[in-house]
Amino acid sequence: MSILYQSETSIRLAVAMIGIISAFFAPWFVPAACIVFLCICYPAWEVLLIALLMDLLWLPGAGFSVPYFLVGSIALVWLCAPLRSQFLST
Amino acid sequence: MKRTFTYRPATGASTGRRRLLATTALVVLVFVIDLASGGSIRHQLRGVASIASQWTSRVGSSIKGAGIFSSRAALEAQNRSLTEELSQFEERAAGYDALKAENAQLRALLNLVQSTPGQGAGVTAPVVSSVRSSPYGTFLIGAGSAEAIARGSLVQTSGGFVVGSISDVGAHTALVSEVFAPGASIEAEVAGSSILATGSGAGNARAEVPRGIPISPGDTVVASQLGQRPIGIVGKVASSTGSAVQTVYIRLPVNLNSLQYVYIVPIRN
Repeated sequence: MSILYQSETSIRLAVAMIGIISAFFAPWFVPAACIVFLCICYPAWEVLLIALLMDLLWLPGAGFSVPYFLVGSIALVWLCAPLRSQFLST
Repeated sequence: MKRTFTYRPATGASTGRRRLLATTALVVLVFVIDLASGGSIRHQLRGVASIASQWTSRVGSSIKGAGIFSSRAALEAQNRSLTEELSQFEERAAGYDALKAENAQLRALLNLVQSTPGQGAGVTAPVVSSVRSSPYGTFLIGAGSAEAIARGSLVQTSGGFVVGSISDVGAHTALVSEVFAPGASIEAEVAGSSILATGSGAGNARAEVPRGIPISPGDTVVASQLGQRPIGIVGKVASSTGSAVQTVYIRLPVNLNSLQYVYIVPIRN
């Protein structure tokens, strides 16, 4: 295990926490930025929780509304997986 | 062959993928359950968000009132000029100012209720979330079905401008969809002409109208589908000689971010 693994985990956890908290209080682009960062750097399952939180909190209830955050995050996290394994691993 | 180093542990790629798959299935399941249950999960979450938002707002006001983030020079000047007794009075005065501002907003809303008789008793509700938090042009208010708020009710400012309508109702919270939510369109009238205003969020919208129609900044925009209530004013009119249309920029006369209270107009049956 790399010596940098601990700091990597800490960064991932910190960004995920920022994403979750900012879903409640911060402008929408803050959790969006956290999602993009996490998707690019890690196989981050937590981005889906942030996206779900955003959509449950803010998606209008009248009629059917497309949950853009959730759909976008699922697409992003799965699209980034092969790219990440291609460019960021041995 | 030279190998490149990685900061990532060699094992765990398949584990990460399995976790990702499991979480994907879980979030989709939660979302479907929420839809099927009529939004029971989101109502709980919004209740939590409402309480958290009110709590942080109080903490923020206290910190601001205490002057922790004031500049050093300002604090030194304050220390020079104020005695302990005077600071206590100032604290009371700051509290009085906050109450006075709140009172003014509530009084304006009361005037709105009295000036529009026959529309039934509405509800004054606090805005409990930031307008900028939502990517969908929505915000939370601190009143819900327990306060007789129903889906479709109109939400007005103290000046009588419609900012949105109730799109989802919980027990003590409700979600307001802005009239000028990003991408939302509404038929409106300005200077006697019908226009189609397309929202761009934060209380702003734009519309394109033929150049011959005399529209000037400050004209009130009303929506016939909202009972001829005002939804904004013309902020700017842009046109070029080569174009057959002019672009009208519409805005709310109040800053949505500074709204503390709104008035909910009940639906007529």
